[in-house]
Amino acid sequence: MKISCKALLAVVLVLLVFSVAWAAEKTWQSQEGEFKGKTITVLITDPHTAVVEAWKPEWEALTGAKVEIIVVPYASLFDKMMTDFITGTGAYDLICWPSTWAGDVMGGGWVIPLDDYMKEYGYPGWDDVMPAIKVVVSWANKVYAFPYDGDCHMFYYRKDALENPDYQAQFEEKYGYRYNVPPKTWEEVMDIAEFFNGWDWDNDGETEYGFAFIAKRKTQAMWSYLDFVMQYAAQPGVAPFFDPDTMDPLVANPGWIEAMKMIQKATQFAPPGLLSYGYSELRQAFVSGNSAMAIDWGDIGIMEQSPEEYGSKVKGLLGYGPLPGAKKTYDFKEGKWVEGYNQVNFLNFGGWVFSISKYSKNPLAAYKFATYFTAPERSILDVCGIHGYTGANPWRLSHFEDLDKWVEGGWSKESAEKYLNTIRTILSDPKAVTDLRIPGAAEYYDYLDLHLAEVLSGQTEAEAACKAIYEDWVKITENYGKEAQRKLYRESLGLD
Amino acid sequence: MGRKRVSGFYIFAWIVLILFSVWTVFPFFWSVITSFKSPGEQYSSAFLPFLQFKPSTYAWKVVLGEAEGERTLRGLKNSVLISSISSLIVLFLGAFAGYSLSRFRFRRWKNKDIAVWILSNRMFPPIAVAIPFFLIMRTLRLLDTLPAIIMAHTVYNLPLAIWLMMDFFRELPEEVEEAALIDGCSALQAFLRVALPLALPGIVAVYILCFIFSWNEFLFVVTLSYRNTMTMPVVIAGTLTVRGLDFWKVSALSLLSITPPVILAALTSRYLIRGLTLGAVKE
Repeated sequence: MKISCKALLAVVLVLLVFSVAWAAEKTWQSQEGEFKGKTITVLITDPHTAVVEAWKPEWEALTGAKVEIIVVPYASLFDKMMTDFITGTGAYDLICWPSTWAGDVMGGGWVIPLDDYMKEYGYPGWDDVMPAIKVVVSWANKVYAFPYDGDCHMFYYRKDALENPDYQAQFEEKYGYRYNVPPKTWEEVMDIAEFFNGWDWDNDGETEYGFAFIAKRKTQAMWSYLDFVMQYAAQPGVAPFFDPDTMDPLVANPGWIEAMKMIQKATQFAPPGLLSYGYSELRQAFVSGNSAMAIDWGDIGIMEQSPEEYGSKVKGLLGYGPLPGAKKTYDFKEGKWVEGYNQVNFLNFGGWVFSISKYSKNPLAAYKFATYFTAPERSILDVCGIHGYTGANPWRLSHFEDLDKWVEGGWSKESAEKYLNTIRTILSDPKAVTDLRIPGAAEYYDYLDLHLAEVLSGQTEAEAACKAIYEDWVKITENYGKEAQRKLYRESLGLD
Repeated sequence: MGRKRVSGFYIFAWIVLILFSVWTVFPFFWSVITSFKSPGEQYSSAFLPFLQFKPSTYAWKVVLGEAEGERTLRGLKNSVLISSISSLIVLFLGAFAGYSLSRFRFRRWKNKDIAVWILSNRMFPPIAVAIPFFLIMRTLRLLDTLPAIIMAHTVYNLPLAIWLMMDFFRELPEEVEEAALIDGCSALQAFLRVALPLALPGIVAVYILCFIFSWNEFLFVVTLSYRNTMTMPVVIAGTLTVRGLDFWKVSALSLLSITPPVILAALTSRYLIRGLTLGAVKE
């Protein structure tokens, strides 16, 4: 009996040791020599390569694995990725893609859900991920992608213009009210833009203008328009694209038309050549100091800090704010205008994410590599400028708190604080509206972009353009299958 | 009076030619100066180095240095290999096909029908065959290998080469080859020793055309390659990022990319001019 007790104890101990050892292996942390001889392939575009290139050597040295990086032009990424998926080739393990393709990629079932891996191996600081970003990486309540980039449009303004007391007084005299800094509504932005348009308000000997935004066809101008749409045609947490019950496009309703009229008005106070402003031209022009206000992703803030690399003449002169709201909004459910202040944060584009291909031959190695470089202590270096321009904007709570790292990345403490506070406010908003993520999103947006260009160039009026967008969107929906699209749209909104 | 008119014409001609030269050379000039600007100056309208801006070798250090040098040189090497080899294969096959279609009469399928069928292969939009090509190469385990791209470019350029060569050989006097046959040459020897040397300018022109088509080809390369067989057009296209287009980098890469075809064209310009006009005049 004594012996059997000892034997039992020994067995329990052995089991305990094994279970501890087994449990110790089940971690997201990469172990020494863990993937020796294995190769994982990453499909990616520039400038995101900077992130993978930065972490590749030490992860390879730690695990013994090899990371092959396949860099393709952005314009070819979708075709390259989908060809691999459709033919089942399995050439890529990890893919860096823009989350606006979620309907095709996640909805199409081409990438593996990460929930089981997260449960089994853990994930570094899931609670540290901003709520809006958790929505972006999910589809139908499952996580399909590694968060990596916190993308949203924000409002930029020149502090030396808008915060100048003399100008504020002159404005008040002319318009009869004192504007907010940053402006709270698009109506206010229009007045300020008009006030600062066409004269040298910073005394640099050159004429400055009111308001700049991306307006060039085929360069994401539709996201500028959607910044207006969100305020006039959406409410917090309510996406304004389709009626989720009928899948009828909402793009011709009075809210969308009003937004179109406002962006058309904004062109009057913009710098010359606005219609040739893609994202690079806008950023370059704005940091060279030609306008008082602009809307863009977090990139202008990054470029502001680099006079040498981007010719920034506005370092320390920029203020940041969330998107301006509107004095009224159209409620499509009730079919009427609702008077009163409305401000909606919008996750334009949604940011870049990493996913593991369904055909990956080394999904665990891919999981561990992705968790390695997206861990809090490493990802901060990719978003704050220490690793240069990576295209990744802050997306973890901790990214907003470690100010020292931002200072190390070239920011002044004050600028970094304000910039981060703005982005944090947007990404913390549980009612921030996510971008259109159903299959064909690029096609829907292409037609939106086309008719927007007609309005901005003065060829078409707002009503006619919105009607044309409506007709095109109906056709696209029918081509993809109305019921299938309705189901996916609801899934993308987390309604089903 | 007449002399005056001639002078006026010459002045006018010179002005037109100078304007045309400026128009033609300006993109190259712009590329050169942009490749020596720092990223911050890429949008500035400064044109005169040292006077208006301080030249910087930043772009060249990036595209040839540690950061991206390997990718650039690999792209350049692949472009040279793929274009040279595929154009040689096209020449080899095209010369035989073009000669046979111009000199022999086929019975079951008429020459004209064969020639039209060959040309119809060139009429496919490349995108229509990109996925089939991908699947074939995947089955053959040739994805991301030089033979896959070389084969694709050969298939794509062959119809044009056959048609051009068919015309070149038609223009040669048959009597010379007949004389060779009477002197004891076989048909193959008449082709190799008589027709081919006489058609050399045309063959060089075809080689250069195929080389340039292959050099610029984008779709098949981007479809069939991953990493090892990227060519310069794909490397250049990769400079368009979410941050926008880095003109300084595009300029440096473009200058590197145009250098080999320019050298080739310069070395063979004598043949090229004769070749391009060969077959242009019908008697």
